[in-house]
Amino acid sequence: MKRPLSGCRVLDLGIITAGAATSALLADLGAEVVKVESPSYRDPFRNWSADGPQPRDGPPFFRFTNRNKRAISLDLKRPQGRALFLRLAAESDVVLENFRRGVMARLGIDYAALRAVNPRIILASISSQGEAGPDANYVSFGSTLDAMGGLAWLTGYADGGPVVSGRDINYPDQVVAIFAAGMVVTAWLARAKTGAGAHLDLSQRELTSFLVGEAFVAGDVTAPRNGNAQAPFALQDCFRVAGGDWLAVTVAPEELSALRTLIGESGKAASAVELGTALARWLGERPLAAATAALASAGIAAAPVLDGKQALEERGRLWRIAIAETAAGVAVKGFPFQLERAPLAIEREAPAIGADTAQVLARLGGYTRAEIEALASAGAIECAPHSINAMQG
Amino acid sequence: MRPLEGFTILEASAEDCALGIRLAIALAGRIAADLGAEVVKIEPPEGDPVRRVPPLLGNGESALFVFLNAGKRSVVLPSGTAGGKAAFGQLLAAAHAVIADAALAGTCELESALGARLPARARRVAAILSLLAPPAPPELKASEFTVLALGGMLDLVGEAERAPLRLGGHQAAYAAGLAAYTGLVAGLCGTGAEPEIVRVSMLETVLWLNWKSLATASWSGVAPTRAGRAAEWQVLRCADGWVALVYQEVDWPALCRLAGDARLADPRFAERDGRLRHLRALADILEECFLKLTRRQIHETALAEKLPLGPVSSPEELARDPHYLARDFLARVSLDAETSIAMPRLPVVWSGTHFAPGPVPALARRPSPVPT
Repeated sequence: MKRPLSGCRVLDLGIITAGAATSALLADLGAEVVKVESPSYRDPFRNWSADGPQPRDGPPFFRFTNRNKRAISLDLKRPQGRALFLRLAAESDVVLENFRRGVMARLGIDYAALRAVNPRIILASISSQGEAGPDANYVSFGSTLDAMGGLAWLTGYADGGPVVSGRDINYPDQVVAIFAAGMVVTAWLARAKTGAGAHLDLSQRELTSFLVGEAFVAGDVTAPRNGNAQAPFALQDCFRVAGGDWLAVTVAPEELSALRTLIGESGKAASAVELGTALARWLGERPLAAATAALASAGIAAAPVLDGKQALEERGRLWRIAIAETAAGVAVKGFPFQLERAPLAIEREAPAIGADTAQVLARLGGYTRAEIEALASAGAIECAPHSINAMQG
Repeated sequence: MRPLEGFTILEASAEDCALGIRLAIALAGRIAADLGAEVVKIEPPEGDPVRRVPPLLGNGESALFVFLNAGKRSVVLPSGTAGGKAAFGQLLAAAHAVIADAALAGTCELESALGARLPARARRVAAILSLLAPPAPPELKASEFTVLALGGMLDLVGEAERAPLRLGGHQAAYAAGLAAYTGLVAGLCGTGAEPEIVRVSMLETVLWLNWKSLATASWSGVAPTRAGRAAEWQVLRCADGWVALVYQEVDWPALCRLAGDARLADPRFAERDGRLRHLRALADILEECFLKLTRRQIHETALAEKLPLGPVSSPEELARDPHYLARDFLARVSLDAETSIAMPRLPVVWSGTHFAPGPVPALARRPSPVPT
């Protein structure tokens, strides 16, 4: 099927989430994504398991994030490996990386070096703080950026301090993938018109701030933290129902009279706080299903607070594309949106180390089998077991 | 030249469109506008309801509206009239793409309206957004907040014994807006004669962001939940505010050097497994240490030692942050003689150039004549 990025080849140096999830989305949109690792350096996600019992199908976070990609392994620290990379860059459209600042230059593959071999190249650099500025070398994980970007300042209970999204979400590392993929696609669209490549300097900290942009505009008008309450809603919070589950409720100002009638408070001129207390009492006496149904019948938005397991169980009932499956039935990351004419789909499982080194070097670099074997025995490249034998010819 | 110059994109929503979807549509449009597209926001005569959402600035404008609509053109069309419909049709006929909510898309038959190709143009696109989408039952009423609940994001934030907590701002809406933008621009890359339809369900986007929790549940049968003070990464107090404690195993020695407290040498804390069993005790000790350090001191050590600690800044402080100033991240924009605001630019520097946000459109007093 012809997809939006069909014909676009991406050399993917992206690791962990921010980089590797961006290139995963580019792969879903039809790009040929070639993940580049090294005999001496793997994507840390290959060795990064979640806490608790370990799954059977290999490192799960890697498997989730690297489906639809090919993988090669070159030692970029050796002149031979660097030369191979630049030869592939000459045949590619996009290079994507989220290393610490300075690594690309030290490896001799920064934008100037890439442009010298391919003037039309698009380099997407995803970093904590951006390419330049006094904090350019500051390192982070997502929750660092919650704090440094202003999001944590705005997150928290009314009587408490700032809160980060935490290790299990690392929100800024997730959300950047959708934005960065959008910027690469924009550069690809523009290149079709102008012929010009681009260097995209994408700062995750700036994105985090952009996503609370209205607080910058508001300046000191904003009360920093207000729990779950939010204008223009009259009432918004989580309430415990009988049995202890949490129910999330949003009440618009025009829904207040329906709510008062429902909970037997009509005619009383209660403030939002008093009404919240009355609603908490009313919900505390009702089981989850009955409480949810009663609010729904009054036209009020209400939903149980699900954990990841419960949310997963709603697949097919409330949602369908966010988690997908490979042909073998293994769960992997799905899609944040869908296209009707060129549906995003899972076509390949996450690759083993060096699974495609031999084929990619032969196809794009014009290397012979003998040359590839020599590079492998010199340690400049790494090929998955049997993959050289599988080469044509 | 900006990358989307020459593209025209409409933003439209039905009268009863959910606030979260209005914000998502507007964010997608703001990104396109900063990248050089001509973005036309269609408003009813009384204006987009977002214009009235607090907090309001000194001049009475909504901070949300100002942020989301910089750089756009506003066109007022009377809703529910034949004239309004015809004018919308004309605007649609000349646009490359439209961003709309599902209710509007249903009533105005967007797909067939976009069916006619523009002369010498690539594929046309409709990005259609909703809080929920099939297979969710259509009668299920939702809000941005209840979508966060269903997506498992609320459960992960806050204190274990207190109510689950939303992230600040409108993260679900804005993430859906990012998805709409990326889907839309991908659609514009296509070449088919049929218009591309981008479907964004806010719930799917939230679940996609929360994949780690779902992934963990998929193999272990157990999902993580919020742990508050017993979380491995959390916010601690320091001398002049707060700092996010974020670190990996490899960072432990540098963290101990920064804290400089002999109690951290306790064998309980020597390995990650031990630290995980004593997270509250560890947080208490580290907070005591951090209370002797300012955010600037922690910042400088973190920068030098490559520690991923996060000093907490407010947006107001960030407007004066040396790094943001060096990168021109915030433009000072005057709304009138007395109101000047800090406006974040699009978070991308494009081959050394950044794109300054445009002016915020005022609401026209009467329906706009449709350009011919």
